[in-house]
Amino acid sequence: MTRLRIAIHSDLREHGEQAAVYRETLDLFSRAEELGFDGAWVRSYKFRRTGGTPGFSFPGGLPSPFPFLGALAARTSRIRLGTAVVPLPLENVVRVAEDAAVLDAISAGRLELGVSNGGRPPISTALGVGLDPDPAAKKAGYLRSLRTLVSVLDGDPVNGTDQELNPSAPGLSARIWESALTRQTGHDSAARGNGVLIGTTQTVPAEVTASAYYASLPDGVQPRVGLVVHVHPAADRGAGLAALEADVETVYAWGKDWLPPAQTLAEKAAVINVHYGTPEQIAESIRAFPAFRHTTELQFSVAYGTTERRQRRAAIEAIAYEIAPRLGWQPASAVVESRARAKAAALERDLRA
Amino acid sequence: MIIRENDEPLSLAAYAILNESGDQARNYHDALELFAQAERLGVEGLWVRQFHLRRRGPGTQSAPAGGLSSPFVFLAWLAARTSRLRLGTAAVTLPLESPLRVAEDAAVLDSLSGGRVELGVANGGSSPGLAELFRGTSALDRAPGGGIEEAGRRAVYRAHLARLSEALDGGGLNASGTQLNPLGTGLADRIWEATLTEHSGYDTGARGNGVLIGTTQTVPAVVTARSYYRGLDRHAAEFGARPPRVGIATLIYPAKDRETALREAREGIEEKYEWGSKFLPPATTLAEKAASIGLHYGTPEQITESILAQPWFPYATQLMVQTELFYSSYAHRAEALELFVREVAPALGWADASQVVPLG
Repeated sequence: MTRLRIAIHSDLREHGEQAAVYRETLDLFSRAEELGFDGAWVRSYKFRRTGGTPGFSFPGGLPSPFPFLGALAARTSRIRLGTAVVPLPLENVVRVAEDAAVLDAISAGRLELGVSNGGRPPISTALGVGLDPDPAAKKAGYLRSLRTLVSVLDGDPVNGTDQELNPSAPGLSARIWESALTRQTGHDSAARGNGVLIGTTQTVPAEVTASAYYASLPDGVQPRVGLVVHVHPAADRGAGLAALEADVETVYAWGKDWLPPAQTLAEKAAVINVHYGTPEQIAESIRAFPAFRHTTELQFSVAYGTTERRQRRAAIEAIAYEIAPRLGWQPASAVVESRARAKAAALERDLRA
Repeated sequence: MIIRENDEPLSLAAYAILNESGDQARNYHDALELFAQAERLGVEGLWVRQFHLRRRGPGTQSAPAGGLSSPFVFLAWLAARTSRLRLGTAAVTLPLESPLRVAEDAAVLDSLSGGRVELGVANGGSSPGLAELFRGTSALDRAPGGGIEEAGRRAVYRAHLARLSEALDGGGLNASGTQLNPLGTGLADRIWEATLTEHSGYDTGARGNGVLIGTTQTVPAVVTARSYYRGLDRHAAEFGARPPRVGIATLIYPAKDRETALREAREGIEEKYEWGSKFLPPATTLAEKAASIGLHYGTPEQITESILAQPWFPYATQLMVQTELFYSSYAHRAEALELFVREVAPALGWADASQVVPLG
């Protein structure tokens, strides 16, 4: 059994001025590294509607994950830097390879490259990208892009010319993850040897995708299953649910056409994968989530139900100190050692004083 | 005596093409450290070039073995490690890119850096084969005439530039009124265009943008600079006055005397001259070739004198100091940059901006 990893996961759609949200998220992720988190993932959203302000009900967000992660690379030294995800149908795949390669070079190989078959009108129209309205044709286009991405990252000649990717991206093609929302994509991603990102609003339960993934994983390939979970630590379940009400209702209303049916607020929170209450209750709730046993990396989102940055900082501390250890997580040995060194140094200072 | 043809304070930037051969990750790392150091020296800005891909096998001047393919990712690292340095792209090859993806990358970097982006774009000059590589995903396919010939390329460039400016200005991008996000940083007023000709210099001015001028051009830099000012007058007549923004690449090699500089830099001079021999001013001796490629070398006094003697100097508002091609290491470059900042720039009329309260 591989060691369970934990990551912080953000969609950067908290309310507030966008630049302030970016800055706060960089601070939060830097803190996550100090706390021993293994990875940081950012979602990507494009554009906003005229007159809109950022926030869940009115999408703002981060359209360019690579520059954001470039800034995070400068502020951290160990944490893995993940895109969740780059929608390949909207992108020039050679440019994606370049962004990824430069980020990997300046971060000493810390990129985890998540991609998807996302993108739809009117976003594609605004970008000037034509998307095939036939899902099968769109999927075929995605697979062509993914093959090109792998080949370019591997240093093959680009489009049959004498040109190749610069900088080189050694090993990066083995760090591709695919967003997988169905049983079929779980199978396919595994067969390609890629990781899967699950747990966001899926059309089938996450455990269905996850078990399909394991069933098709080639021999000798390490499984990589990243499960997003939304957590909201609170004094008890009732207080947690009360704080979550507005966000849960908004998200459920948005996905009600394909989410499992739910009536009460607690049921709605459950179907959108929100875990709340005391650290014990959150750990118990995640353990009971069927996809958890398939998970190699838990990706914690702490945005729902919070309005202030101090709440989000407190939440990631609760995750590192109280929730994740109950789920079998331990900080990487490098983190344990550096904590021990800091403790020893502090002790020595005290003795001298 | 220092003659200036504009009223702007002369500013200083480091300019890097980053196309050294060797371990690219190592180069990037060393370059990032050098630029963070440049801010501490009081240099106001940084410009990085963009090179897509590389030819398989060893590189040359015209087909470098390396380079920086994603300037926004690189500059984001610096945004986190610096607080005042202006972060410039010199330049993004616009016809190869989706203008809205460029707008998104630039807008995110501007947000992350507190409004420090200087967005340089270019038509791309001659990059044989590149357009074909990006075919299928680049708007070059939709160029009038369906091709990549010069006129078509210029039309694509203009269309992309218009789309980029519109997006950065918060214009609606489709029928449902979709807007760029993030917005509101005034980045549309910080576009610069890299130009190579008299004509494009004029157009840049007429659009009210800044101009980036290399010294190895098909026409002398002063010709482009002068026509930029004429274009800017045209812009003023129609839309109101804007201050000139003229960045000129300034390649330096300090040494204890001119002979030593020439001797140490010989290989780089010969290679660069060879690369540009079709359009550079003709030269026979090494000193002539050094002048032809726009190299300023020798003692601080000699470098000062050489720059002041340039016909373009009175038109420059920013010197983009380039410590490349001839240097043995990044430590060597740092030394040269520091010497320039401390001993050359003040003699050119530069006032150290690090004494000024930082903006934003």
